[in-house]
Amino acid sequence: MLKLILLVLAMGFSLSGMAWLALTKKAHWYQLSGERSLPHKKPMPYRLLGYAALLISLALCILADNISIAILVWVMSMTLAVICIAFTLSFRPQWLRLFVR
Amino acid sequence: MFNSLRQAMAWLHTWFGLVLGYLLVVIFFFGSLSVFDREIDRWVLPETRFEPQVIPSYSEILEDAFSKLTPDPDELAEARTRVEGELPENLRVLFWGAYTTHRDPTLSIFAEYAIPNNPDDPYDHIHGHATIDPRNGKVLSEDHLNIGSEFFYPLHYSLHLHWKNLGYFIVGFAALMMLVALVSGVVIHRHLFKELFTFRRDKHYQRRVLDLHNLTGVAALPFHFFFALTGLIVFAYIYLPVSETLLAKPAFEYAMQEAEEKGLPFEAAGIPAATASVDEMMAEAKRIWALRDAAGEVGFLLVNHPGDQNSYVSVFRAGTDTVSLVGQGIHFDGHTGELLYEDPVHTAIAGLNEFLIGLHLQHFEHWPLRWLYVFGGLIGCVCIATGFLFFVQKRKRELKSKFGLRSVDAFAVTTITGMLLATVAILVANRLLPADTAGKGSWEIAVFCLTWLLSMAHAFWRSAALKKQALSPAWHEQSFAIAALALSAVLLNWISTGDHLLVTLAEPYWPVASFDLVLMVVSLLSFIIARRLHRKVTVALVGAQPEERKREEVSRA
Amino acid sequence: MASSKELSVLHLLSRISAGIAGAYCFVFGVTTLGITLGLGLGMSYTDAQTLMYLLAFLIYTTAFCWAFIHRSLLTIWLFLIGGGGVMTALGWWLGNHA
Repeated sequence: MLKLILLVLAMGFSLSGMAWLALTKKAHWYQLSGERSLPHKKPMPYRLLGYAALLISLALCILADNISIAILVWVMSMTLAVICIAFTLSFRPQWLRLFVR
Repeated sequence: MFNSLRQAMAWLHTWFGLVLGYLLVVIFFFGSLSVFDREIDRWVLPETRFEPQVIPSYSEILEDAFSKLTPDPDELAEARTRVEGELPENLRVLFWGAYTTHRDPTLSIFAEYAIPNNPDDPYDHIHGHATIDPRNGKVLSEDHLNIGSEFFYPLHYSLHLHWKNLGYFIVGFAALMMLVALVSGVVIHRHLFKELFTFRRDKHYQRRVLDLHNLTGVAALPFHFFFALTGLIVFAYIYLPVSETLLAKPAFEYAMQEAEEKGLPFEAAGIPAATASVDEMMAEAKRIWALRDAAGEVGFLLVNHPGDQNSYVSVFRAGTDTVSLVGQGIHFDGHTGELLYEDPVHTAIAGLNEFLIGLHLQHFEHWPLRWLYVFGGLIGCVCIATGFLFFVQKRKRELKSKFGLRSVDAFAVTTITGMLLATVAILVANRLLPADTAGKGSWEIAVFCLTWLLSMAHAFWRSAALKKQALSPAWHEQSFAIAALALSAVLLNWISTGDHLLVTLAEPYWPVASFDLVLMVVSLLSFIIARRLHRKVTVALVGAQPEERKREEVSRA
Repeated sequence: MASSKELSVLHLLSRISAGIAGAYCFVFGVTTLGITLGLGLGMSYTDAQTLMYLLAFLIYTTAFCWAFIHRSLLTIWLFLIGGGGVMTALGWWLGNHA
């Protein structure tokens, strides 16, 4: 059970990490922030947030499993996260507004 | 030849991708199914629907089952042609083996028999194999095909073409071209990271297809790369057979020397001797693993030269909790029962190799990761198929003038919906054919092949419509068929075994429950897609040729 | 790199076969020689073979792509088939006689 919770959390951090990384891309920043004409001022904090979330996700995977398995789970969770975020951006972008600060 | 690196890479990506794309979709799809091959086996063989078992007692079950093993009749007949004179009635056993994983209710046992008097090969040998119920030692019928592990899985890596290992080489070449496609794809992609999350669904068809191709290709790049590479590494000994040919001498010398250093006799003494308790050896091995803080079950048992004075028993640990496969072998003297040798800790190279092969062959117990693998494999199918659709779309005008478009489209239908149709058809056949049908497995395979061929014929026949419209009706017609067959598979499982979802979910017996659920999802999705495609075809028919329609109306008036 | 005027069918076929067969020959040579050199360096046979198997397909991919990038077909053929042949022979000789 603990393992399952850790893995769900890891997946959550992977998703959040990828959402923040998506915000470092101009097109998605304009799409989500609503800012049209302003230049993208703050990709750096989002990039840091994104990478930090991905690292936390890795740490959670390692807590849940043997390290060899954890690496595979982590990489595959990021793949899933990228695809989920990409489709959310194209079908339900409003869901990702909460990542904009 | 090409003006730039990018041009050369684009050429490679396009043409090798196109030629091998069909094949790669098949390999990726059946690879994805193989992640759950054992569970599919449970669905198709109702008599094996019980909990996974550990390796049973040697004295109570295994010894008896081993001694009843016989050489494979086909291999035996072939061996007779290789030897001088007659073969003895009872061939000498080189080893007995038993192998299981944390997902197997049944136990796979096998043997190797020495073939004497072969002038060309002093170490000639043949094999024997059986599947038993480890609870009572009963041999399960050879007629029953484990559709998951004996049909879908080998299809994934050998295409069932065993003549001169041809299938392995074709799949290997496809995997190499997958690697080439990944390298060239990365080179030609202009916005690898900038468009990592990009899917512009409101853009035109060609843009959407390309977005989807890039998205699935880049997001799953590590998966694609490592699975293509590790798949090749698994069969490297087939693709680069140096140790059996050019370097046979040093390889053999090394094997002899290694056996001697370990104290594990390479050859039998020829003196009969009693066998010590193998059960005690297995218990001792488990105790040693527990001392190493790696308590575990036996995954692989080998009894070498059974009944001989030089007999030794190797016990390997099942790699349930790590990525590596069976390992940490403990070897015992078969006659005295004393411990001979413990496998040392891996060298760095062997460790890396174990990890790479293990990540592909998946012996670990980790259900979320298994599902992620299925997801990765299906994403691979989407990536290859969209690459292919993009090619067709981009060249539609050039192709239209020739016969090309029709066949390219018909092949796409055959590869995608035809493959799915054949897959659900073999499951339906499995539930419809009575369990005691002679050669049931062969009939099932025949249904699989026939369905696939029929879907190809149908695709070519219906592609005639492409002269008038953008979409072949074969797509939605076959999707409807998939929806119907997948649903009937679930119903037939219920009717023939009584294990409907309420039963399997309540118990819960996940192998059957989740496979039923997957079939229902496939059925539903196929139905939705089929309806959408059908509407598109109708709209295209009404909308795309206004002039033709006008003419028709005029002529009617 | 040469201009696309040279793109004849024969030229293309030559490149494709150099990519497929030439790269295979080259990798076979690398594997054979690599194993014997590994043995010479004191590696176990299993380790030497595993190491070469891990590298072989990466080398194949590189050699294959190179066969489509490099300008001179002659160089490609000489390097892949010639190099592969020499390495195979050398590996065999070292493995069996040295």
